[in-house]
Order: sequence, then structure tokens, then C-alpha cells
Amino acid sequence: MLLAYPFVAEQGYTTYVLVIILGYSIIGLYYNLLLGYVGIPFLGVMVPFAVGGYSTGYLAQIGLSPLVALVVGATFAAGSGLLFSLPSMRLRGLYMALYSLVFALFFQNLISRSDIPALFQVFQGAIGQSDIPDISLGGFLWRTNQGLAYFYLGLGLLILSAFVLKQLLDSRFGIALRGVRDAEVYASTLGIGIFRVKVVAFTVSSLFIGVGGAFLTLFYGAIGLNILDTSNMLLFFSMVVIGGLGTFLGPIAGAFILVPLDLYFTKFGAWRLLIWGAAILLVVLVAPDGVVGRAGRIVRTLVARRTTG
Amino acid sequence: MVDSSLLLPPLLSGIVLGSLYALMAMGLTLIYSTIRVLNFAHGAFFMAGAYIVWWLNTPSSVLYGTLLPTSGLALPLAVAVIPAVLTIFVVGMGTQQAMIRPLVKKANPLITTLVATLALATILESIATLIFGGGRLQFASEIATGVIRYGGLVITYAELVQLVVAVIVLVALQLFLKRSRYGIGMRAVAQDLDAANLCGINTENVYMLAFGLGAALAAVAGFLLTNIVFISPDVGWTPLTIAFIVVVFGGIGSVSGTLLASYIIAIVQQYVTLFLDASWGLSFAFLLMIAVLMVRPRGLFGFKEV
Amino acid sequence: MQGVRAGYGQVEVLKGIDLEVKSGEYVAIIGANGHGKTTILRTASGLLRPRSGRVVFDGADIAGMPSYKVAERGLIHIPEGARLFPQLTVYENLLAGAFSRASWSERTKNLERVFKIFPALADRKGQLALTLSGGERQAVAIARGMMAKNVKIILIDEASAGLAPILIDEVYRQVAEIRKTGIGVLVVEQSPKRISDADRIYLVENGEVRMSGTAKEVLESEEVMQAYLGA
Repeated sequence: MLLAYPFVAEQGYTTYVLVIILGYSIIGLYYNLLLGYVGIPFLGVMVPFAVGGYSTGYLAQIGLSPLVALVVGATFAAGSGLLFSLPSMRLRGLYMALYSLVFALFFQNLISRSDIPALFQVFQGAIGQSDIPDISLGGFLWRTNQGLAYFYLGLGLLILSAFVLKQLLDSRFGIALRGVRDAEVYASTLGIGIFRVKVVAFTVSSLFIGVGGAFLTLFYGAIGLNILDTSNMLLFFSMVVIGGLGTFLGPIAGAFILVPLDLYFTKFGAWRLLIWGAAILLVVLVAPDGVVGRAGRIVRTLVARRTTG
Repeated sequence: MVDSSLLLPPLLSGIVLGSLYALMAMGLTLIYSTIRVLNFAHGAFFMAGAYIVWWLNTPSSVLYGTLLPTSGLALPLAVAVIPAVLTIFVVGMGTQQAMIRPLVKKANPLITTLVATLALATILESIATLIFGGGRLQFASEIATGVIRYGGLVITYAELVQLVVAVIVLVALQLFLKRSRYGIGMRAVAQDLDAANLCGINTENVYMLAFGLGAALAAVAGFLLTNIVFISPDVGWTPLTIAFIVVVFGGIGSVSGTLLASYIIAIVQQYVTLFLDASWGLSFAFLLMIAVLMVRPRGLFGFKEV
Repeated sequence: MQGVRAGYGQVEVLKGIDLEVKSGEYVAIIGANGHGKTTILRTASGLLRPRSGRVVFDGADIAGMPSYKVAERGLIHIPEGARLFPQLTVYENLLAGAFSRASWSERTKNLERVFKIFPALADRKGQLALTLSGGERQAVAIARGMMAKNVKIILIDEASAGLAPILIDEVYRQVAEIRKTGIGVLVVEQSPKRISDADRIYLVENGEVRMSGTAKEVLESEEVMQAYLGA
């Protein structure tokens, strides 16, 4: 049905919004892996996003085919996740949260500098990258038609990442992951296994978050420091929490709710952040399980009533 | 060769700055050790406290011609601080009751409260922007003017006041925690919630007090620091980051650890600024934090979390 | 307690408990581990909310009341393993027990009273709780419970767990002293010989009261003989 969508509904702005939703969904799925499934309060989600986005943008600008750049960019993002996770072996709970936060801020500090030539060349400091070349496979520029081609690409990437995630969760690795969340103290007596699980979780998540970042960067054609803003972090966070921590489809639902909301709120101008913050606060208070979480519980209670009735 | 007289000033300003960091960090650690919640709105409380003092203090004459609001009360700084800190204290207690309490009972409290406090911070920041504009403001009055010269050293009266006030507040906090009914109650709750309940300690009130106090500490730090520099709606994020670094470095639940860490980080920052530049200060603090974490995953003096 | 059912998560541990402690009485609960003895105390003191049944204290329904309110009313639960505040000194631990406003204003008086029953503690006032030995911890735990203003009934969980016999003697000496002041005591105990001077005993098995009666009745019954002296 989704595939047929472009031929049915009117396109234009809706496509634009959908592409963004798809991009954020990919990120959300894997951020949920860390937050919900493994249970790590990871506050540095913007880092792999930025690494993926900036490196893809840079590589595309210096002539690499944008699609290839996307893959390479995502790999760099995975690398950043690996790098992040290595010192984190013995960190738990609060310390992990703070470490990840400070890591992200350190990263932000680094890329916004203008005094280190190598960094500046890639990240362009406060200016950011713009004029990132479009994908032109098949002889046409993909951004035309409000990015219809990106819609399909995004859909494909989302399906791919969802598939990989499902496999991961269902495998022995997935069981180990949940072990880390539910009984880290007990699991930690099993030693090195935990560390390896964490490292893999971070690396894989960073890979796909990087894919999301790279994808969106190519779509927008630009990237700047504003993606590291706290309001963006709030968006990523809420998408997962409101969608439902630890539920599979939760983040996608979250993206579908929040992205249009975010775009809609821009019409409020200066009031935007206030209303945005208030809205998120309200939703979190009313449904901390998230939308999918709540729905799941409702379904389960209904089922239980029917079987005992 | 570096002139040895250059080496002393960073130490001095590090001590002053460290005291202010300690205020922020103590607030954060108070909230975390008692309620087990990370207050992302800590920087917002820092900022809000400063703005309230500014609003109470700035006379309308200064703002003539601008669109900035002021209470027109033109209260002297020492007076204005009191209602400002009290307000933030109440806001903190309210936040605990309205936001934290319902979330702590449910699943994933650490993460949901993170989102909630982050949302709150966003709300507070946008309110400040709407009322005061997004630009930088200066205080109309300074807490003190003039400098003291001793030998080759210079320290401003303002820095002295910052130091003295911060130390007084810190000492008062310590006394409270050690001697008073709620102080002991708070420490008890931080160490064993169930046992505290069984002792008849009103844990609900303790939670409220912890959050309110934490917020108030941030507000005091906010006023002291911004008075000499500038205020803007986003001024709270860096102090928040530093508070986080300090808390991780020093270890949660350890007062001495937090204090020590505050001073170490501040002094290191000052020296880095001397030899490199200010923007590296934060990065160095971060690297230092990581180094410590690798060796001691709970910070210098952190306790085991049960 | 009447018909109390309680449990953790999916597991129902207490399957309908009826038990009673009258004021000034000395009652004991015995039974094998894991059968719900601790759960009974936790339900009484409010740490656990019962799924059904009534918990009444001093005429008031306290089921599901927050534990600190239960403690304020005079029902003090001394938990298993003492659960002292590790980073507080003995003195501070004791003060923590006197938190309610009424108790706090009388804390010096309560301290005196407590030091009379537990003389050894006075010497250790400034010591950090985590440096204490097992026996000392148990003493502080009970003393802390006694710091409240109007203690009516004390619930002691596993009074003798992990302690050497001499120390257990000391614990029961303290219990006797407490009883002299008219306070009711409910003890959860493993070894039946220690509680032979109790007024009444309940035998709990599989979350139910298997038997209840005077100490003599229960201790000399078939079941108890078998369970504890081996068949």
C-alpha cells in the first residue's frame, strides 16, 4: 500500500514529510535498541548521526558518488560508535548516561572549531556543509519531485534496517542484549560477554543511525551544527519514548507522530519550542509506556478479559 | 620560560570557579543520590534564577527605549536574590511532585525523567527567550567592583564575593545534611529507600526537598556566575555539562568527591585556558573525566549503587 | 491480618493469611525459608500492598498505606539483614529512626531509653554503620526502631540470622527488655528453641498458616517435631 501511495495521494509536501519520517524512523529503531532493549541511557545519539551525515556530505562534495558516500559515511558512523563504546566497559546507569552526554558535547565542541584545519575542512565549523550533490543514479536528480526517489530509497532502507534489527533481536545476541538490560548485575558475573554485547550493540546502532543521518543529509543537501541542538536530541529521545521504549514498532509510530508535529509547529514562530516542549512533557506524563506500549497493554488486557470471561 | 607569576592567577580563579561548580554539582548530585533521577533541567534552573534576579534588579531607567521587561522594583542584588532563589526552590519542588513522582513509579524512570526534564528545560528556555529575547543581557549592578592587589596578584572583589557566598552556602548545606532532621532523612533515603520508609521517614517530602534544594543551588550558582559575565536563555547548558563532568569525575553520593572534583576541574580548566585557549578547557575536562572513568568506573570516590 | 493474599509480580506468595498480635503480646512466626514469613512482615509494614484481605492496626485499616505512615502509627518493622544506613554513624542511624516530628522533639529522651536497653551502643556512637559487626548491626537496627515515639508493636525479621549463639542470646535479651515496656513483639525466627517463651506461635508453610496456638502446643506438635528434628 505504501508503495502505491505516490500514485494515489497528491504528492508534494507530503512526500517531503514522509521522507523525513522514514529517515527518523531508521534512527529511532536503533536508538530504541540501545534505550529500550539494552536499557542503556545513551545520550549521544547525535554523534553517529552527525558523523554519518557530515562524512557523507564531505565525500559527496569531493566527488564520490553520493550513494557510495552514504555507505562509507555510515561506516564511519559505526566507527564512532565503536570508539565510544570501548572505554565504557565498566560504566553503568548514570555514569554511562553522563559519559555519553559529555562525549556528544565534546564532539560538538570539536566539530565547531575553526582552528584545526583537518576538522574544519570536513565539518566547516559554524558554517556547516551546503551544496551537497544529489544522487543522480538513473540519469535524473533524485531530489526532484519533492524527493520521490528518496521516498523509495528511504522505504527500502527502513525495511532493510527493520529486517536486520528483527534478526538481531531474535538471535542469541538478542537474548544477551535483554540480559544486559534486565539483570546487568547478574549478567556481569558472566564477564566479558557483556562487554562484547555492548560494543556490538553500539556499533550496529551507530551504523544505522549513521545511515539515517547520511540519508537525510543527502536529501536536504546540507547539514549544520543545528542538528546537535538539544531540541534535536529531545526529538530523538521523545520519538523513542513516546513511541514506546522497547517495543519494535514504537519508534516508527513516534516518528510518524512527532516529525509532522515538529514541522507543523514551526508556524508558531517563537512559541514553537515552548509548545513543543510542553506537548512532549504532557505525552510522557500521560503515557510513559509510549503509544505502542500503551496500545500493547490495552490489547493484552482485552485478550486477558476475553479468556477469563 | 613561563613567568611564575603567571601560574598563580589560574589557581586563584580556579578556586573561585570551583566553588561555583561545586554549587551546581552538589545540586545535581543531591537530586540524583536521593531520587535517582538525572535533572536535565538543572541548567535551566541556573538560567531562570539569574533571570529572575535580573528582572527584579534592573531599574526601568536603564531599559528605556528597549523592549525588555523589568519589574521596575530595582531591588539591590542582595535583596533580589532571596525571592529568586525561593521561587526556583518552589519550582523545583513542583517539578518533583508534578513530573518526577508519577514517572518514577513506572517503567524506565531514568530515561523517561530524562525526556521530561529535557522537555522542561526546553520550555523554560523558550519562556526566557519569549520574555527577555534571545540575546545576551548584562546586569545593571555588579555584586562588587574594584580589585585587591597583593604582591603581583589581582583578585576582583566580585570574585571574592562569589567565593565567600558559595562557600557559605556549601557549608550551610553540609550542616543541614549532617545535623538537621530532613538532612539526615535525605541521606538515609539516598542510602536505603526501604529502610528509610520503615524508619518513618517521610520519603515523599524528602524527595520534594531534594529536588527543590538542588534547583535552588543551581539558581544561586546561576546568579553568581552570570552577574559578572552575561545572561542569555541558553546560558545554562555549559554549566550543566560541567556539573555532569564534575559529578561523574567525583563520584555520585560522595560529598567530598564532588567538592574535590569541582576544584580540580575548575583549576585544570583555568590552566588549559592559560596555555591553550578557553575553548579547549571543556574538552580537557572531558578527557580527564574519561581517563578517570577507565580506572575508576564510579568516579574518584563514588559509592557502589545497590 | 485477615485473609491476606500478597505476592511479587506474577508470583503469589501469601495465599490467605490470618494472624493477630494483641498489644503487649509476644508472637513468633516459624517455618521453612521461602514460604512467606518475610512477606508477611513486609505486607504488614506497607512495603508490599496486599492483593486482597485486610490489614488492621490499632483499629485502622493500613493495607497499602505508605510504610512511613505505618511506622508513624507505631508499627515498626525491623527488616531482615538490619538494613542500616551504611554511610551514617550509629548515632545518625538512631536519629533517622526518630524522624517523625513527634519523635524528633523527644529524641534525647528516646536516645537515653535506647541506650539503657542497648548499653554497648553508647560507646560506638560515632562509628560508621558499615564498620559494625553482624551482631552490632542487629542491635542498632532494633535500637533504631525503638527511637520512634510511640512504638506499639515491633516486627523483627530473622532476629538471629547469621549470628553466633552468644549474639543471639543478646538479641533475645533485648527482646525481653523491650517486652518489659509493654511493647508487642512479632518475631520471625528459624530456630524454634529460641522462641519457646513466646505467647503464641504461627507455623507458616507455603504461604498459609499451617498451625497456630500457644508455644507449647505448636512446639510439641507432630509437624514441628518432624520438620525441625528430622523424621
